[in-house]
Amino acid sequence: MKDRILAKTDLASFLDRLLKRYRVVAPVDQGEYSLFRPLQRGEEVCLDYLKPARSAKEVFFPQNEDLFYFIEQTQKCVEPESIEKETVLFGVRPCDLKGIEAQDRLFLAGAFQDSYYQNRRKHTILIGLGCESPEASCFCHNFDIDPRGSTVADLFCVPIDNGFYYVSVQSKQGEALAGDLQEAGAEHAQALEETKRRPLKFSAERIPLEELPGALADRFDDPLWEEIAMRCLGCSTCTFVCPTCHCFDITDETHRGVGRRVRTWDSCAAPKFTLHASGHNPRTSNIQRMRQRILHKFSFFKDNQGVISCTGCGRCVAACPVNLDIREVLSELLATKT
Amino acid sequence: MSEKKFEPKIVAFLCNWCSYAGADLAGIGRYQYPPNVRVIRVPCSGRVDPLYILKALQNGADGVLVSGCHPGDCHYIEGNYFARRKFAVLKNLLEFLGLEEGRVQFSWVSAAEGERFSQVIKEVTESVRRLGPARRMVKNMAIPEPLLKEAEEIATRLEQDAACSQRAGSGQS
Amino acid sequence: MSDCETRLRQVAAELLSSGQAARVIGYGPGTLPERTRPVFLTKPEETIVLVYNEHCRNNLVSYLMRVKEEGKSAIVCRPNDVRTLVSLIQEQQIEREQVHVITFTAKNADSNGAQDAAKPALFDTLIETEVEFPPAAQAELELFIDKPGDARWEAFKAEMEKCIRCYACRNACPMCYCSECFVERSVPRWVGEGSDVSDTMVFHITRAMHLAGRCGECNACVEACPMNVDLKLINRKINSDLLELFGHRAGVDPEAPAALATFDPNDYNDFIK
Repeated sequence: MKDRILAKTDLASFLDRLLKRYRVVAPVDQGEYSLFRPLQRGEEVCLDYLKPARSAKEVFFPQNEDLFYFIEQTQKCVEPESIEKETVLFGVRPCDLKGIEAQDRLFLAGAFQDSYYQNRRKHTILIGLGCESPEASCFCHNFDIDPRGSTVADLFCVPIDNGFYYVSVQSKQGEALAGDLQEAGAEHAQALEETKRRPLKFSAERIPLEELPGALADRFDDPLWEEIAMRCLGCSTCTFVCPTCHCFDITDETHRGVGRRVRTWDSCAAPKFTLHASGHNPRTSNIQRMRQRILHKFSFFKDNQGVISCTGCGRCVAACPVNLDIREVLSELLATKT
Repeated sequence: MSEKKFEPKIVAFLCNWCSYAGADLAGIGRYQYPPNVRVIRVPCSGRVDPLYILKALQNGADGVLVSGCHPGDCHYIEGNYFARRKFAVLKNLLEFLGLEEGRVQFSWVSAAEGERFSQVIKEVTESVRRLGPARRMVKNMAIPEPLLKEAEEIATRLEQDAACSQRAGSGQS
Repeated sequence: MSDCETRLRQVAAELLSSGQAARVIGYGPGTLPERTRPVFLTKPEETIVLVYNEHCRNNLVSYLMRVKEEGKSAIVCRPNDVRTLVSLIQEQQIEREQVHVITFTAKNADSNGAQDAAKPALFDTLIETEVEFPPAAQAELELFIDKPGDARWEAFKAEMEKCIRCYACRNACPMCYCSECFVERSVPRWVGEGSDVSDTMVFHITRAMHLAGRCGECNACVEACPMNVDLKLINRKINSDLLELFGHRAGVDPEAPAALATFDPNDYNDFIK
């Protein structure tokens, strides 16, 4: 499989060619931010914003997913139509690719595979996009992420000098997409090496996250949690924009004897998240919910799935209405460890 | 070939003491009015949360009517005064947002106004009929057509069975 | 550092060192450019972090509800934030004596006239400032009204489709303090979960109606929204009607009851058969 190059000015026509054979999803301008949306034409792609305001998780794990439809009286169930067309997801930054990897572990690994997630995932080809410089909220340098490369994608485009992307072909599916692009020559490979050698400046110091499980182990009842949660409004913004957060709720909705079972995003930050049918709620305070969220993402998920449930994309930092900064929270927890 | 006339579904919130009694009087007096209205009895027009009106629209009501006692005559003294302010705001808001004028209507009908009640229902039904089926706030669950049809057939059959057994039970044929 | 910030820090430090206030709730620098964040200070030396500039978003009054049992709080309020505090006091959620209000002279008129531009309804410390918060534009409302009904509906629907139901708007609003919000009720379930657009419309319209006569246009909801949904549209329409029909604006007169908490026997009646 030979690597390719693509001129930035040819991006739109490349996507147009893909549109002939595939459904193409890419960042599209929404006014003040971009979101991953299906394209009608290649020129709709918008890379003005470093990343879309919401992560790529919604391509595989949408906010609303109809699980099946039913008739109450007869209990007859009908599943939704399965995906017909292959999808190309373009413009996924390494942080979001890492997020997809984390969600794959959750939804696909193990004895039970989530068929809804799998259906979308297996019909999607990923084209990653390297970063030229981080935003103030970015902190992917904490998570073994290379902002200029990722093996999760089928194709990975790194912006190199002279207005080109170096397109690494990393799978047969990727090869099928990139076949008509010009092959990369030695000078392009060198430009790639030079680009990768350039240091990237992040606004925050690296946080020694490997020390975190130890630091958190005895801190469950620490009064520091109250200070951390003080500002938090208890909304669901951070969980919804996050590439790795995956909690959901399932509800039945009916009308005149017919209905559907729908899966929707939920959030551990919401007050009724842990409300039991008995009426008992083990997490009634904001402090408890905040503590659980941090522990889940940075300790429990690592124990259960082998990776930290965070990719340093910084969307939670940027989107939080009260500027609750998870980088600061982690540093505080590490700084005052007993 | 005659086209089937659109029969709007109207949900009417009627206050127990005035408008519901007025509707009852219309029945006693045999005043005819279109059968399109589904009545929900509430203690007072002031009880009606804007949420209920929106839910009715969301669930497929083509029109919503809220009817209470005349100002000054509320069984709870002031309930309808509060309702009046609330509904003025709600009606203006919905029309501002682009909901068709006439989807949500309000009336004062007293317990003595049986004939007037039937008149109000006639007016509301005809004005909503002219607006056509409501689409704007209706929740679309994307249920596949064949399943919807099947459910509709089952529902119709159940209604017919219930009506049959009711007639049999009351000794009428 | 501006004059108003110097004065602000002075006042805050005095309140803490004299013991007049148990805490100061104010704005401190954020961790991102052009951001500030709520800060909770208990020691005089901490007041050095306080800032006041056009990047101050969040209505800090909502935090008063969390600490009201625990001694007097000094709070930094933007001019329209004071309106929400007045409403909360009227609703007996907060006692006037529990709060030391630090606010600023408003240089700009808000959307419906300049009557209260000079002095807020309530304050303990008033600091002069050049900082302005852009008023909600009346022109936007009028532009919207000028569109035909279909276009207005499509525009409204497009805004609602942006909403991801994170409830940042509701949680940022000091007037939303119900222990159980109607969207959290599951028996019966009034509003579906997820982001179905008709459910989202029911949520926003109902919430706006629950706020009718209480919304002080502090803008916290708009600033909190991660998807930039134009929430102002709904609340401003309601407020404009309340002023026109009933001569009322929330939170400017501590003696005047909220618009929907009172009535006049001669209220507007033309719309009722």
